Amino acid sequence: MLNGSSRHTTRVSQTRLILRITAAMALAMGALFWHGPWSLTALTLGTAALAVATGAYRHPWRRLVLVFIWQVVLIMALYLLRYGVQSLPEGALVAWRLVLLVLPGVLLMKTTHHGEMARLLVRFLPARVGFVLSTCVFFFPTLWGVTVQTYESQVLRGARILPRELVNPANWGTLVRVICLPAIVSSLVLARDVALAAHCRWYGLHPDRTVWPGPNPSNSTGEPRA
Amino acid sequence: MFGFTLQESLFLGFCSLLILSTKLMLRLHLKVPGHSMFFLILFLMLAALCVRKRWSATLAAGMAGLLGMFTGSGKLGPLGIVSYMLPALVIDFCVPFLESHRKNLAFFAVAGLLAAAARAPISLFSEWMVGMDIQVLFMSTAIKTGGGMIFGALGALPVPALLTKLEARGLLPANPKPDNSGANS
Amino acid sequence: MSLILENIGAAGLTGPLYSGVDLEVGPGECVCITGPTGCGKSTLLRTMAGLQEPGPGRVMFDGQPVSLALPGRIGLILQNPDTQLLCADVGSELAFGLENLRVPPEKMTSRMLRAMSRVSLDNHALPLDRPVGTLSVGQKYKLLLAAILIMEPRLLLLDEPCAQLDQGGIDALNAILENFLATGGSVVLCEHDPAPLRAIGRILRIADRTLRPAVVPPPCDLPAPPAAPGKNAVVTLESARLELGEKRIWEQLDFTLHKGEIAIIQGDNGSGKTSLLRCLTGFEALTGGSAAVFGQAPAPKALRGRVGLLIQNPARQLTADTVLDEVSFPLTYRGLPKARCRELATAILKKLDLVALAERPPFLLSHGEQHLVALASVLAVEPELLLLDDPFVGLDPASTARVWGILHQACLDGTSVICTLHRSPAVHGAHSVHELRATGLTPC
Repeated sequence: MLNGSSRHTTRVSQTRLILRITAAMALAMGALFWHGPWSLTALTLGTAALAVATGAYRHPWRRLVLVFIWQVVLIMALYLLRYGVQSLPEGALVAWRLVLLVLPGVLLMKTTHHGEMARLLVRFLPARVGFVLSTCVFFFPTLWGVTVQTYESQVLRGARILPRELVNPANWGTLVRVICLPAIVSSLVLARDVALAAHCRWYGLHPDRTVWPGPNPSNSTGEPRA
Repeated sequence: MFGFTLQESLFLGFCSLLILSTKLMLRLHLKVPGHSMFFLILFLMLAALCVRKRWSATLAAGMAGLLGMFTGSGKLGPLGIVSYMLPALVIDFCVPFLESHRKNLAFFAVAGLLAAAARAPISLFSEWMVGMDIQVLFMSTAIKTGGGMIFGALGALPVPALLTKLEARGLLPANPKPDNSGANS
Repeated sequence: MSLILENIGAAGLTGPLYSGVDLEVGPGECVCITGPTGCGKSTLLRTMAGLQEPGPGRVMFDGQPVSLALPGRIGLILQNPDTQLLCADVGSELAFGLENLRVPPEKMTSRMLRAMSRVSLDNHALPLDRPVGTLSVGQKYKLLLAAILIMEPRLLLLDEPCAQLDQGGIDALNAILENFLATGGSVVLCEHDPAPLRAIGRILRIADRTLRPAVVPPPCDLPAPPAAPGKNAVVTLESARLELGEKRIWEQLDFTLHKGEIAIIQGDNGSGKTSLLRCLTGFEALTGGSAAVFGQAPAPKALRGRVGLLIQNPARQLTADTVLDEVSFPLTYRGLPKARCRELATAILKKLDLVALAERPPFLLSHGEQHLVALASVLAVEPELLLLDDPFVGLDPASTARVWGILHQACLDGTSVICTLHRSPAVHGAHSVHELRATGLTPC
């Protein structure tokens, strides 16, 4: 989850990222609020332009298309059931507008390197929130790794929790007991250990902190931060 | 952070990431509508009842929305955050009842059901705004939300037993902590 | 400058850990505290750091309560470096403490470089923007030490510093501690085996809930492995290669494990030991070459019940309310009646000399006992192949000896064992030892 998208993502400047986010959100808002003539065409062209700008053609699309197809099929089936065949064009337009509501955001999220997005978000969040979030992301591979190891060990021991076996709800109890409980225990212990490590290095002693300017001293003002 | 100690904040953050990870895994393998509500409700309830401070579930949900954007696995914008926070608000509202009725599984199931149902307004609003016919809109919301409600209720059922096991291991505080205890993050 | 403990006590989940502890540590002195896992060594260190209540007594440092000591005067390093390195790169890690103490930014870099030289970390080989994830365990521990020494503490508290270090890391630690002591600093550390650390001047032991002088414990005698293994190959790797993403983990791996054989595979953290085990269980696919387990390509569903996997820190996966329930739970997957499962589980516990623990909650056992119960739970399904991922981390010598005893018993029953370790064992009970490197597996 944290590393898988790197092959298909690009690092871009923060300004360009802000522009892309603005464009994606404007397109999504347009899908919600703009119902004038040619709106669907304009939104479709806008989304296509965003797809090209973000290099979305490099991304594997199959899984994404499957998710949208399910939504389109559901809506058209409901229109067909309720109003008959003559309502299918209307259903298709509504389904397409719903796709246009979600697609710009999906395009952006799948094609932006998560580190860039994190760096941008942290700029707008209070420093303490940014520290907690980035620390969680930093340590989550440790937690997830333990959970995956526990899962594999339990599968080999006989637990019926392989993906196909989880279609049977009778196996969910096993999943909760042998995977979820250890995952929560590991989360509690890891949170305790990391917090203790941070306190050992005096985190929280003062309400704000100074900032190391980095190996290149011109990068930061060094003003105190929380 | 917002009255939570660093340890509590980190635990809530890990719960958020567990929510996102299980959602991703289920989407890849099961493709059953609404199934992700099982783990969403399970981890949000555990977050709220392990930390035992007001708005724990809401904070975990907010972090899930933000972390989803951090990691590229969530939705962009406020819609993604709101879709997590609505169920969490219901859970936070239900926490006092759940804590005083720990042995009553029906309470937990109903709370899980209501929390999952709290997502319906988002679906209703967005589908209404894109011009969906009212009757089709209700049918679509019922299908999307109905499955989620069942999974949400199921996700709440293991919570009491899990809490008992965590308390027996000495991992949870015996009594709710005062808000200013320990170093705040 | 001295550390004084007066009438210190602490309690754990099962009752009092220790009480009436009195201790004085003067400048230039290094004290080692030993004791079985779970006796309260880490708790005592945290009490000395002011992070835990001292019970009825008090802890004084430089004449004042430790809670009022100037920040940075006491440095505490806990057991696992991976949960204490909080930043993505070396520079940020070193700066973290300075930022928290509001050190002016213009003074930070020079202090960071000085701290690195104190622990013999070469700034040219290890630039400040180097990601922490690429460091070896020894480098990580040095970085942690530097991050603490950067504040020039007068007291260092180290919790099992040797647990994850190889011999080179231990030698480096000795030099760092000797330099620190020579400047008048004091050190208190916990270790199961104090012998490798020559800086230690005094050894104390927590026993019978009190702290008393002790001597270096004699090395634990491990039983020799049972008779030579059979000829049938259980595991075969031929020219195996593994790449994860764009990184080549290892290649040209050739290995054979015979029936009833116990093999150790040792390699530094990051060398791919866990990935090797995942390839043998079918959860990870090789990039090149071939692997065979019981004559077939590994697949989790096919190996279910035939291969047992014990993960690191296995106590976390103990979920039952009693030891007997924990050991009988995997047997329920076979569809056997509950009574029959308990009968079989009792037989396994008797065989492993753990039957006295049958009705006790696993989470109330000592760390070593939890380890043994987790191992019994894996052995409950009588696997033909047992894979153990660094099983001895955090175990005291007595528990280590018991684990080897259980492995030998399994070996006599025909189970083959692969045990991965992060450090070459001084003593072991295996038939063969191999070193895992990026270029292959080399018999030692």
